[in-house]
Amino acid sequence: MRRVIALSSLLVLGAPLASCGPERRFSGLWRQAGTFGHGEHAYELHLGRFGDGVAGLVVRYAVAGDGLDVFDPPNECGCFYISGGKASDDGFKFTLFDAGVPGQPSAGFTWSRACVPPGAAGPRPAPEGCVFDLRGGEEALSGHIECDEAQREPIEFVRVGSSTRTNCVVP
Amino acid sequence: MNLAVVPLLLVFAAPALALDSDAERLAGELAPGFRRPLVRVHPLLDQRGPSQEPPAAWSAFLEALGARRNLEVWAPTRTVAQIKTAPGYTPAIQAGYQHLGTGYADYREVRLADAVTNLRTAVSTLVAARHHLVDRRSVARAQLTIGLAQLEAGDRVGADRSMRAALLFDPTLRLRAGYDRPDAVDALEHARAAIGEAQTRPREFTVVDRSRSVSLHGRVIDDRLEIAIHAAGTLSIETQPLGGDPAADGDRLAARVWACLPFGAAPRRPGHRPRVLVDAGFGYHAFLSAPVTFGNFGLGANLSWLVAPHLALDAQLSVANSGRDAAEDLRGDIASARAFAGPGYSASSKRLRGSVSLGLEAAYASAVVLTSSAACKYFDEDDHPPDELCDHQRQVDTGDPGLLIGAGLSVSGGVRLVDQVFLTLRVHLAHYLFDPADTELGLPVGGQVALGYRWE
Repeated sequence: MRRVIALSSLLVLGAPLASCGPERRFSGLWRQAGTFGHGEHAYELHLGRFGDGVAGLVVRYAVAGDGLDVFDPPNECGCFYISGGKASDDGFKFTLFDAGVPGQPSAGFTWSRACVPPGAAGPRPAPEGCVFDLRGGEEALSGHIECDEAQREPIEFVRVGSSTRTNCVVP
Repeated sequence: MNLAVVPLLLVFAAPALALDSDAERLAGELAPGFRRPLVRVHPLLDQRGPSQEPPAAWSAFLEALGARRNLEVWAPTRTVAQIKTAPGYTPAIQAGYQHLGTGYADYREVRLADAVTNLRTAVSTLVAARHHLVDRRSVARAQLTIGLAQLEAGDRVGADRSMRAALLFDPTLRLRAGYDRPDAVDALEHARAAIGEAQTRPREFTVVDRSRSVSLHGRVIDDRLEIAIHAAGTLSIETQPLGGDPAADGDRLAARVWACLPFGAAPRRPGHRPRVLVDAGFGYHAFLSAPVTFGNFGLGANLSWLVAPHLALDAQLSVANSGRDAAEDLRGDIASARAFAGPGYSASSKRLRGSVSLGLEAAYASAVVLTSSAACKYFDEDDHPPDELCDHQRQVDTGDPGLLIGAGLSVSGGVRLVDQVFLTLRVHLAHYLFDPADTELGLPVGGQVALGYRWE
């Protein structure tokens, strides 16, 4: 009889635990993996997945030199909103939001000094309209970034955390 | 009222008011399920002196009394068997005999005061367990030994009192002349003569049994048979002289005793004892007609009052907090409280119970905040995302908290785990007819697992 009562108590107390949470796979902070040469770009994804929708930010960094932290805030060179993000079980795809301001990620954007390469006259162009198509799991993503039909480059990301930025103000 | 009507009423009402005697009722048919009084007859105490056969009138009495259909008569053997199986009898006997052994050892070793103390404890323990009706000789022998110890100690008055008590337990008790002490033999015979002269009655003929049971104790003394009748907290004694036809004597005595006993009662109507079941547990529900489907977990308490057979009044109270839907369209937790009250049909067996209730439900729900835009879910309004991605004013729907009222249906089933503890599963649904705040929350459907206790 004690066993019956114990099982019944387990059933009563266990009921609240038998719930399904929201789908949040791919949500979190991802950073581009690989080695970067001076003057190249590295991307950081701040993602939120909500069902089959994906939203968030893509932060671009200008690589200052070997051996330095690529994703150092002073190296930030553009923050872009994700547009039209769609997720599936094994991956997601999104476009960088085109603010309609030529060469800038959004209206009133101010380029940081890192975005002006030494000797260059102006900032690096904004990658608005580029499409990120990524597949993967909990810890790594791979796919490609396509900024136009002729420019389709492979790209990989690794998860570095769950805390993400929700605005383009440089932290 | 016209007084002339009174005689007419008496004429027509008299037959209905006529009361039958017990004898007429016994001659007639007893209703099915008639509740017969249980009459326990104890073994006969023969106070006529040396061991003799019980008088034939005693057997005739038992037979005649047992023939009364309105009574359930237990013969002495069955009464004794019931005493021996009564709760607490065996432990009492063990304790009594333990004191008895100690008392006899004390007496053998001439610790007379200790012997008296231990034997008195033994006798009182055995008598309390009614063992003196099962084994008269053992209790009488212990009581006699108390008298012998008192006699040796020089307490002749106490010894006489103890020996008389011993003889009332077992009148056939004797000491052996030439073997036992002569003064003890004399004292016992003196006590026997005193009882015979005073016709002292045993305690069952003098002490009223306050229990609600009906019991008979018989004794035969000289040339008569006496029956002590304990019924409903009273004691009465019927006496029948012996010497005539034993069958006639027994029958006459049975008739008189029968007249002193309760007749019995009509069958008890199937009664109803109000019951209250209170349980509490965890619950889950979802609003089927809400814009998005999300779960709500909470606590609930329920009270079911069974006011009549199969009619229950149910009241339920629960509080819950929402989870989130898979796409997280719901942007804030919804706290809700629900109260339900209504009558229902209830049925139960030994271990199972179930009920269906239909009643009024009132609920309160906090504000519902919804959006289907992923950007609006990710960015707060303070983040100032581009309007093309998320316009919080247009794309986030913020409702008002509100009261909902409607009809509710509750179906529950339970199983009794132990004693009156029930495990209950409950399914509940409601249809809200009144939603002034336009919360868009409707058709709550859910379940509950609860543990509860039932009082009768």
